Amino acid sequence: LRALEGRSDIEEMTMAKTASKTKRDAETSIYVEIPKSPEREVLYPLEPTSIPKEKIDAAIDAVMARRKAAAGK
Amino acid sequence: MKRDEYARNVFINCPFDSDYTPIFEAIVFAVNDAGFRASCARERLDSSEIRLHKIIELIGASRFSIHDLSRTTLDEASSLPRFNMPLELGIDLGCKAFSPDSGDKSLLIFDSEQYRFQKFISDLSGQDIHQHGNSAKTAVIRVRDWLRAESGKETIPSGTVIFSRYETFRAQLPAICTELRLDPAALTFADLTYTIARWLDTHA
Repeated sequence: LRALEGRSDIEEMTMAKTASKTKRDAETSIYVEIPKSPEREVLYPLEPTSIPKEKIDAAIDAVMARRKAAAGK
Repeated sequence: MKRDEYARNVFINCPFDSDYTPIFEAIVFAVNDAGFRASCARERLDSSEIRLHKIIELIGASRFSIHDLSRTTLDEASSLPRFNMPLELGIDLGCKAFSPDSGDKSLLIFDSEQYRFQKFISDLSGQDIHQHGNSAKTAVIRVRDWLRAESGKETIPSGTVIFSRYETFRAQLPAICTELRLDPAALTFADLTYTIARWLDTHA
């Protein structure tokens, strides 16, 4: 049947490998960082926060620093 | 209000119950990650303002709006439907129809099932109503695709990328809140959106 379809075992294996690689690429591409651009600036809320913004900044920085340290970076 | 601010504001008219929170947070994140500013009736805590006036002001200040009718169901206690969300949708449609500066408004309307809305708000027949199936990921993808198509912005990441980033953010939020001695479930809207914006700024 494969011969009738014009595909050899090797071709099938190559296709499977390619499909696997494509799947991996698709999975890893999720984590590709999106470069910043002027059009994609982050907009902050206009309303005041209930706690000082500096405290939120510091909390995010602290969590990031711990994660980087845990990752050995 | 500046015209460019209007063009970047997205009013979110969604339920505020705890079951809906994952979808709500994901939508707010998606709006921010797409480069827009999310607003909703929850952001204004000044109790001297009349609630409907706040909502009208926010709707008038936003070119884009997301209306989720999926929770328009009968209340178990009163056996009556909660109609705040259809009411706010009606105000927005009226604003688009009658305000000379708001003709370019764009609305994304969600419901839980296809054609369900026709049973309780049949005047919407002919509108393009979307379903998220109570999936935060589907909601994010729909919001992203709609903002991309309606705003013309070419730099918006794909819905899958945005949702992946949202999952990363959501995994870190408890630790961020622990640092702040706050309960993640009790964040005010301004605290949540500021945290999202700051997180995006440092993870972009």
